Amino acid sequence: MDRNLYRNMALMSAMFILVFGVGTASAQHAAKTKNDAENVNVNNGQQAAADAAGKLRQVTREEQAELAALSKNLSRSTEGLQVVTRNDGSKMMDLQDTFQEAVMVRKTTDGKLESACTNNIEDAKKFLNGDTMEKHAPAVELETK
Amino acid sequence: MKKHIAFFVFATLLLASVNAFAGATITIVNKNAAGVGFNDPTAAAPVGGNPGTTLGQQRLNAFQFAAGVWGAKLDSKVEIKIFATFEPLSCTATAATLGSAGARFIESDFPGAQFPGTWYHDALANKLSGVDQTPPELVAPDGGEDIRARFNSNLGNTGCLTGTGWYLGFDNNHGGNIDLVTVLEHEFAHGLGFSTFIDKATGIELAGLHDIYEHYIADDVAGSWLTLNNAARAASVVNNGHVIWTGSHVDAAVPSVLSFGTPNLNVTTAGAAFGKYAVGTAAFGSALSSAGITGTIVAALDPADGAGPTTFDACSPLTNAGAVAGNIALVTRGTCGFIVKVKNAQNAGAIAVVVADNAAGAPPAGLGGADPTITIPSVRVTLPDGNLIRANLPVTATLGLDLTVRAGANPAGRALLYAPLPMVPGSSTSHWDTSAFRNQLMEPAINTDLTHSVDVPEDMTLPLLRDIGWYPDADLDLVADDGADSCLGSDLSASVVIGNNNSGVPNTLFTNGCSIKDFVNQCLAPATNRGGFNSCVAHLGDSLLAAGIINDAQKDALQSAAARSKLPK
Repeated sequence: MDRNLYRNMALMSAMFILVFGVGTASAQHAAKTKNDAENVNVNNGQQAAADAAGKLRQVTREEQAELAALSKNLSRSTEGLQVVTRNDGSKMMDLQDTFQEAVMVRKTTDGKLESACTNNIEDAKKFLNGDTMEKHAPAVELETK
Repeated sequence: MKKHIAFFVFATLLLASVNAFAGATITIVNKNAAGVGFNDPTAAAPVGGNPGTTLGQQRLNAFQFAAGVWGAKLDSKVEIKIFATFEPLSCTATAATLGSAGARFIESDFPGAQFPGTWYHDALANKLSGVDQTPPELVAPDGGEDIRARFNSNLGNTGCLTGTGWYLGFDNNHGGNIDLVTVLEHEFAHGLGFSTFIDKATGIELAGLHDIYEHYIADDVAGSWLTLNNAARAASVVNNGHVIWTGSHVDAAVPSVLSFGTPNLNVTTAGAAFGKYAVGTAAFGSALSSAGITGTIVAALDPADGAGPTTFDACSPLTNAGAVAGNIALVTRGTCGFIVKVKNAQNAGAIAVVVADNAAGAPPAGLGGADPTITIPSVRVTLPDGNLIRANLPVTATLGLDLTVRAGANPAGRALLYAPLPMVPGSSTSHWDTSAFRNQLMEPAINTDLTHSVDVPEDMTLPLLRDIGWYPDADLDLVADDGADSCLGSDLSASVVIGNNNSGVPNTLFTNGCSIKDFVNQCLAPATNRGGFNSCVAHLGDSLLAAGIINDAQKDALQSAAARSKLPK
């Protein structure tokens, strides 16, 4: 009996894993391509980029789109968001891809990685730009002076 | 007879076992176009348990693995769907957006909500109500996915954190790369409810309602955030070391997860400077110990010269070595590196060094640098703390670990939320404090020593989600297994079936988490013969009839089904 019990439990567990293993393919969004050979530099709304030789240039349309998308995702503004009240009195708000949290990462001068999770676009820009943001986080490179 | 009873018990146990693993189904809804993202056909060798043979499949597998971690821990009868893409996100050669995630919808005042006038993340609202609050037909054209997650497909390519990419294995063996599963677990937790919607700068609540996360935030000085006005909440956001989580599951988890030993400087000389000071520890020199180092704090003096413009910066060899020797040196941050200051103090005979910050901010950050010749401990204190101590020198102090306070908790043992000064708008309060040790999944930085665990004894993420409403509910009867549910593993069939006989009686579920069929099963357990079982079911029918739950015909149907079942066998 015990053997059957374990066998059946194992079967159930396997079925459970299979159920969880299912991913759903669905509607498709257009993909973007990006010039990977150039670097973007963002700083409080002033956007510039440096090419492989370090020469400043205008950011590309794709890069601007990426920043705009990040700005939208991290927005904490309620402008355009509506509270819908249903017949039963319950309420719903479609956040429209805002109020998200983003994880950023960067390399320090000695090659170590530091990361920060934020939902503020200015924080994110500063972080990408190399400014100190998470100076208290343990994975962040410590100030040396 | 015993064999048959044993078989029935076995069948019941098997059912219970299955229900015990009910969990939640979390589906990754792949929204990438053909050929990119999750559909990238680039060949890839299986890695770290990820069997995918294309880059896209490995990405999808990693998403499903992380979803599976949460799905195995959470219970919901409503499928949780994640609108997911891998796409190019902002990055440079040395910095990148790894990804972002969050709830797509929020709900309030729905059936099953624990608190009125409170926003819930959509997936949690679905769990508590037992129905999909945002079915696709109501939120067309996007569909009703509960969480949005987008991650960076360019990571590691030239120009996007060049050379450092995703580790797509399941075994956390990420080396110098970034463990996608860990980052996904973190971001999914935000989408599941580990976040507040309050404006950190103003303290204003979203659309005038509390949020469920806010219900459990308190300032251990000012009180629950629910009782604070906007200005007081905004002030609390930067009340470093005093913003705590008040949920009972986290309270219970703290002793298992967080270690005793908070670094501090304890000034024992009576006077204005008396008390314990938070410190930032150094990456060099000896570590602080529980025994600590006790000595007199004295100001270190050095020439105001080209190396450093003040006589307190310790950028040059000290001029008062006689006073410093055998004592704890107090120096001021600035101009030269920390290792220069500490080395000069060590050369003068100091037994430890306290660096007073020269800029506002709390908690005090650590001291970076490397010098293997430095053997004494050193720490940083905040600007106001440094000024206070300097104004009251000399004082006696012990520099060490406070073994009465857990790292990441307040003295009362309540878990601390991240509340730095100056405020970090995007990170404050929606993460654990960075003083937590062991390191936690939901700190604002993704630490490299994290395991994939989300539960005790390693992690407090699941306990926090339990607090906000993700209660265990293996039989999915919407009654908490660790609360009011008196019948774990309930039979929730539509009608009461006894043996193979369908009575046709609706299988009512009661608020204690027991169904009529559960009560019938309870009749079976103690019955030694059919007469006893049938009598028990008859009494049950009488009770249900008296309570107005069933009618006479249904009572007869129950008794008839019991009799025809010939149970127990």
